Amino acid sequence: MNRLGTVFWVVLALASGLTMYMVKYGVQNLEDELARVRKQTVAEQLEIRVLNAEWSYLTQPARLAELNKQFVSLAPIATKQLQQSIGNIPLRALSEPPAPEPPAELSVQAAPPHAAALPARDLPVSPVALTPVALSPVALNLASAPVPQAARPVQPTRGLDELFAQIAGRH
Amino acid sequence: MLSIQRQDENPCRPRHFKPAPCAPIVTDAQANVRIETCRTRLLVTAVLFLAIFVMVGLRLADIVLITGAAAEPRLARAKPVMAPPIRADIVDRNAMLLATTLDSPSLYADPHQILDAREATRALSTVLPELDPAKIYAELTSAKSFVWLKRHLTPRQQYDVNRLGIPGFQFEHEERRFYPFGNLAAHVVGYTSSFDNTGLGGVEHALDGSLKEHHEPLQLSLDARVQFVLRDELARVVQEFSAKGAAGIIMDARTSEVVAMVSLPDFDPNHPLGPSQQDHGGNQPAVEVKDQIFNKITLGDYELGSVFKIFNTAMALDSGVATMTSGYDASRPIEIGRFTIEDYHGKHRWLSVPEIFMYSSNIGSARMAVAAGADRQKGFLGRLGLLQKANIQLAEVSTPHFPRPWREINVMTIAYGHGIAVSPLECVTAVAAIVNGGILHPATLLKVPAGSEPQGDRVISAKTSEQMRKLMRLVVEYGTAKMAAAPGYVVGGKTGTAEKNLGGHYEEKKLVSTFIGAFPMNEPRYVILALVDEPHGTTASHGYATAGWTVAPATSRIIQRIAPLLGVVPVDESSPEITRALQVESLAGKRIDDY
Repeated sequence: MNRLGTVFWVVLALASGLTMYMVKYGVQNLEDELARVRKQTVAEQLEIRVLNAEWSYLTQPARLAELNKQFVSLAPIATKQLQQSIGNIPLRALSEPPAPEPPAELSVQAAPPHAAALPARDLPVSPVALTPVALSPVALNLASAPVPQAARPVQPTRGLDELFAQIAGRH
Repeated sequence: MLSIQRQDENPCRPRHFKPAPCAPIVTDAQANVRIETCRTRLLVTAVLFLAIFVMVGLRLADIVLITGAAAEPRLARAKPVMAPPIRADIVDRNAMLLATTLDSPSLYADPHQILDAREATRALSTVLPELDPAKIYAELTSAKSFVWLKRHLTPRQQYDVNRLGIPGFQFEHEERRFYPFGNLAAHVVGYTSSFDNTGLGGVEHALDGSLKEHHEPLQLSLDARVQFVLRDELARVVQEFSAKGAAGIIMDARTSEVVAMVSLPDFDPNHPLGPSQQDHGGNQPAVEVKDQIFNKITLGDYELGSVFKIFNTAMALDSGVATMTSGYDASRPIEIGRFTIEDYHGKHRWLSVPEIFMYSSNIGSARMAVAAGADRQKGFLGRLGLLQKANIQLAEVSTPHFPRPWREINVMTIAYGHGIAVSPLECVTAVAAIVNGGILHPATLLKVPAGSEPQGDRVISAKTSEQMRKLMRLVVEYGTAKMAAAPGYVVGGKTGTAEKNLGGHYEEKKLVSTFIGAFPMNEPRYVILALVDEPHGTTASHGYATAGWTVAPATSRIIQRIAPLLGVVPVDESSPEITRALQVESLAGKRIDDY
């Protein structure tokens, strides 16, 4: 009985020692991993900063205006295109047969706020409401809105590098 | 055992005699007492240890099972990591980046560690072709132990240099302030020192401390898109009329937030001390750096001319000295001392208050001011903030110039904006108060959260404000600013063309032409000021360089471009509601002379 007890305690001590060893090394590995991830996080944050700056540089109004002139030739929105706000367009009478359901993303864009409560098929989205005339002026800010796909074939721009090079020129 | 030894060491014992190895005889009672003592001691020790182990166990259970989750955030390793703190970014009202700080490593070398200077130079020039190989080679073979090769590399250049794998090339971590939009908002955002990124101009300078301390982006009231339109159109005016410069400001009439502020010529805050020689071949007209850095809107003070008739008329109407139906004799010039006050396009008759304003009569305005008196005039301009330094988040702010003492001749000239010089910023802030219902808010460059209206002081009554809106609309409909009309946006305003006062006398050919307006006039949302410095008439403007021919048409174009951006919906200007809201009763039914 006494010997059995001794064996039990010895085994227990060995097992706990082994567990401790494994946990310690496990933790150490995790610490290393954590340090690595942290370093990477900081690097990514710095990179995001650079990318934000580059995005701003590439979307500056002067450049967009230039690209617009080069590729799409959109003009500033004319006053006559804005004679009505979307809220002034009357709702379709409910008794009429429902219009074909518009694509979801268009209905979201063009629906006046007060129509949100109506069932989807009664949304006052007609072809008229979807013309540029009725869209919100801000969404159609042609002079400086980001230029759509048409601007893709831009010659590869060096972007930030170019500007950095300019700045560095004075050193 | 002790007792055995003791017995064995009996000195009287014969040498050969060894006592039998047996315990000394102790009585049962003695033994029991000793055993009891041992047991007690053992027990006490065991209990003590047990208590300690139980405590440790309980504490473990407490940490792991109960308070573990709460304690975790206190661990250093659980704290979120952030990139090293930097100067805060500056963004516009739509969160577009106006200024940011980027990591910008600089390349240096230790020539002692360079193994093959020729090869290193060759390799480096493949990556950084702009460097002069001969110079680099000389540096790399010098006896120094530290030479700068290139400061402020881009991340890509740093990667390329690293990939060369040349021992002895090292990077020094540096930060540099970067302005993605370049010239666009140069005077507002300002610029920083290229050595330690300390703000030297604009908001960068005025809010330097807060930009250093806080790391959340600083949001300005500017709208980069509106700023672009304003700058674009003003640049066009400068070019068209070969002017020395131009300036413009657009302000929210309800909150006095500055939505756009432009002063031309301007500069690129990325290199505020002027472009380096090789960037521009030196064949451009030299513009002095100090002219570029000068912010005409806040630091300039101009005699704004007839624009001041807005304040003069508002003062007369608000104090009850004049009403919309009263009138003054403008048939003859006023002679006072050695001065003669006359009208630019005189009507030579008795004029009513709306007519004085519409035809911009100096004589009528002067008579109106004299009727009100110097104290009232000075007090009114003071209340509008036109006699003290403007309070805005910029250090480049001028102090207005006004006459001391305030004589009768000054009363007359100030009525039509001469003899008093204020900054365009203060003028716009005051006009915003005149048209918005009479509440003056201090101008601000920081975004006011949507829906909250800042505290302001009432400077004129709502009724006077309404009358002033009607009068300003009249100027665009029939008066000097017809070219400022932007169909659908109900523009109203006032032109002012003043000769520059250079060293005490007025230069006839050097004009400052100003238009200040607001739109839509039935419920003003934005106030806009455009000013052009020393314009020259063109054939298209029939030789005129006055405000009506220079900045008024530019304002019309600006408003038509920015109104859709700012969400101002155009209205039918001839609709009954609009005409009724802006009709001047005293002129109703009368034939209005053309200006």
